[in-house]
Amino acid sequence: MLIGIALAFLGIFLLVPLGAVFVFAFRAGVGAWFAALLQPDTVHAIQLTLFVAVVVIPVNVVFGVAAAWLLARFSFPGKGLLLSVVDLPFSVSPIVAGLLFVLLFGRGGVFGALLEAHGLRLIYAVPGIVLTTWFVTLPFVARELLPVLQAQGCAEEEAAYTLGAGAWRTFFVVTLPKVRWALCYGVVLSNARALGEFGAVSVVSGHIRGVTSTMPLQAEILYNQYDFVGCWSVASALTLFALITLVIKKVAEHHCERPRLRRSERQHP
Amino acid sequence: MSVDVVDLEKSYDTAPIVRRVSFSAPTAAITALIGPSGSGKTTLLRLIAGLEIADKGRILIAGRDVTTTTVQCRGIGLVFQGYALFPHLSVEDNIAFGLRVRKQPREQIEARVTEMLRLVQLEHLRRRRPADLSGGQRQRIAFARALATEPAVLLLDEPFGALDARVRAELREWLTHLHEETRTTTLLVTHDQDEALEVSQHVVVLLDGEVAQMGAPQEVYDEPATPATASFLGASPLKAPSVGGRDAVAFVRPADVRLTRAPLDDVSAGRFGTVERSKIVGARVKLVLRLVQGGERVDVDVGRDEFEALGARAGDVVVLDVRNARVFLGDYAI
Amino acid sequence: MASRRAPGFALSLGITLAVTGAMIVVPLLALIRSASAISFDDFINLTMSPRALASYRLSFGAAAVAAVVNALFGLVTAWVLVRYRFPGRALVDALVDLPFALPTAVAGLALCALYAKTGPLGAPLARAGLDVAFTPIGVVVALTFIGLPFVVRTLQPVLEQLDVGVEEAAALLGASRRQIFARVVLPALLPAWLTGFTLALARGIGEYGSVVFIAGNMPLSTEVTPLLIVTRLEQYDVAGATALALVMLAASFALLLAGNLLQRWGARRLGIA
Repeated sequence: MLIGIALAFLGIFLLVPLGAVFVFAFRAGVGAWFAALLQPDTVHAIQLTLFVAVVVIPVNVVFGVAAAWLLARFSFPGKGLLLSVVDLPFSVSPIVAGLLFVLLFGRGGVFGALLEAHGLRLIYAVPGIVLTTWFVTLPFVARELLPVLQAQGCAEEEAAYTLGAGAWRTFFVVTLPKVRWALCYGVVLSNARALGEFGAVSVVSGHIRGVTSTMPLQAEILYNQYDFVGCWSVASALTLFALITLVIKKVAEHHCERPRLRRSERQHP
Repeated sequence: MSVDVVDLEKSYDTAPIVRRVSFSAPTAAITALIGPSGSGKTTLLRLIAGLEIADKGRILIAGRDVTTTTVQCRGIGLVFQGYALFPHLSVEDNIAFGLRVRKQPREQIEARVTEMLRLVQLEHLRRRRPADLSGGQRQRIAFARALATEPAVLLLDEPFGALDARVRAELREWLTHLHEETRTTTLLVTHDQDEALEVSQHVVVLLDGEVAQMGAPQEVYDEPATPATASFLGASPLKAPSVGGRDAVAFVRPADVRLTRAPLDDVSAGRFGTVERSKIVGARVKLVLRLVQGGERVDVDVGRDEFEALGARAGDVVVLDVRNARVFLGDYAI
Repeated sequence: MASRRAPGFALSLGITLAVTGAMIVVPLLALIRSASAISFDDFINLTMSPRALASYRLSFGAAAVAAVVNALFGLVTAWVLVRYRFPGRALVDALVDLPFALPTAVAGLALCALYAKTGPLGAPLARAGLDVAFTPIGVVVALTFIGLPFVVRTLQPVLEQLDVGVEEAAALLGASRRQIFARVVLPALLPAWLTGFTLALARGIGEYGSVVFIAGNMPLSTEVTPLLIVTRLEQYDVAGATALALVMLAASFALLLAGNLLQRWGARRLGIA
């Protein structure tokens, strides 16, 4: 009975939209799907999206590891505040996020005049897209690593120090392998968000076809032009990324299943 | 309000956990169910509580068949291994829970909670949360909660398992007093034979899901019925002279061996053993000996005085004087 | 300052402060600088115009309705996923995260196509007299999709760690199944449940991508606040966009604070803190 309610709810709200994307995308056949993806503007959008992800992810890993290490291993005044600040991009509307960067680097913005004087353009250009994407994906890696680092404690690291291992060596040989699946999942999540961010990027991109249009923006442009085959092809390609994300998540979860007392200590063999 | 269990059986995925278990726990006594881990004692307790459903057999409480009665209506109090106190409720609300569920009038609940807190001597913790209490205090609150609804039977699942040795000893004594006051029929599950012997008036030994022996604590301790029971109760096997052509095994407890210096000339005086090592443990000394004949290992536990009087060091040969050995005939594998 | 002698304090502190400072604090200061250029009267006019008020009503109202729907069905879903074993459970469990992984624009497009009057779900609903796409109901549908994982994912770990012994103890003390749920399970879940609700609400208020396609975007009726900000910006009305953004930011902060307080309350209740 309860299972039925839950499945019906999930079916209507999750499965149906998911299925719809692929039905719409392949209605005109696999050939049309490929053809639509190979349009020059769409190809450029895919390239731009992948470029943004490739730039943002390493930066997020470095920041995420540093922030999670800091917040898990040390206590210092202002720690709670710092945690809230790191979390902030999660709770800010993507539109507000985009606006923040327009106000910072756009014409009339804080650094607007300075940039203009040097003939640089960040907003309505690729750097703006990279920066806003970085902003919205900032907390993911740190957020995934933090609980795992906290739960695992530092006994093993301390053991490594007593055995004479240096800090960096211990980090790479002991800490990183312990948290690799959480790290992997954080990367996958921030990758998913980087590929799919729409609101924030749409504010700073200027929607210039073939120049500053990422995949989600390209889907919107095609939709507004009634090019439904093109639109659904792009959408389904993004959905494939999303499904891969879910698979990697499952695998990661499987690997970092923490030993946990599930049921009260029953003694069933 | 006795508890009678008749031919009770329970399997999980075809693995039998409780096999045709029958026993009676007499009214107003503490009955200890003892056995090693995996012997089915916790499952048996959960069957009696109604938390598991038996495959076969019957359970009677005060003569009434409760085999198919729901947990709620069995009139049983259970103190869980991990206490299972409600973390979001205060001590007072934890104790009142069963009474509130029964929709008893407010003043009555209030009075009963006070009475229970006095019984467990924790009146001052009334408004605390379980998380603020020590292990021993949580334990006593769990007792108070279980007793508040005046259950016909109190079940205790390794109630002192998670506590340190000193608190355990205190609580054993406390339990004896508590039982003297309440006189509730009690079933105590434990793997600790000392605990069972100290607290209970009746002991049921469970091995591999079967009742291996039952009786008064001293009787079970002195006269183990089978080699397995003897072994569970702390005796180790030694080859004994064969009886009527059949092999015999003597089960000996470390404390039941006396040691004397071996007279150098008389080799016939009892068994000889070589001291391998000895270790002083507080007021007692634990020794490991090898029999000169056959080379079997014998663990011995003697008083410090006796050890010092003996003056034996590693490598010395001593005479073993074994008392209270239980001898079993047959092909019991050592 | 470090409480334990772990290495790397200065390095990790440096990186963290530099990045959060440059990427989060400085942009926020830019917003505040921009807002401080607006006079108080203008600020009131910009944020209290009928169009703005209508957009708040839709954004906050639809987010609240969607969060309630998610709270109810999310509780059922989490319960089923933790307490029952059925074929396909792992698949369902994985699918719950879909709204996190799926680009919001794709979700918006799919929902719009499904619920449009000509769409496979919209057509029968329209015949029954219920228009979903391009109405506030459409916004609720989109926000329900987006907020779905929050309640499930905050409840799941709490449910998993719930000591079954506690429920058994309640049953032994005579509590019926309903009493056990109401008096033992629900109080234990309450903080997480409310936290999940708050997260779904916060996400719904700021949501843009999944909403724009299905909302209809008519000023005064189906225009959400984030869209109004975009519209202002496209009209080069930076002041208008900034003022509205400040309102949204205040709402986010309030919810973030509420969420943190709930978590602290929950921890204290269970005596973890």
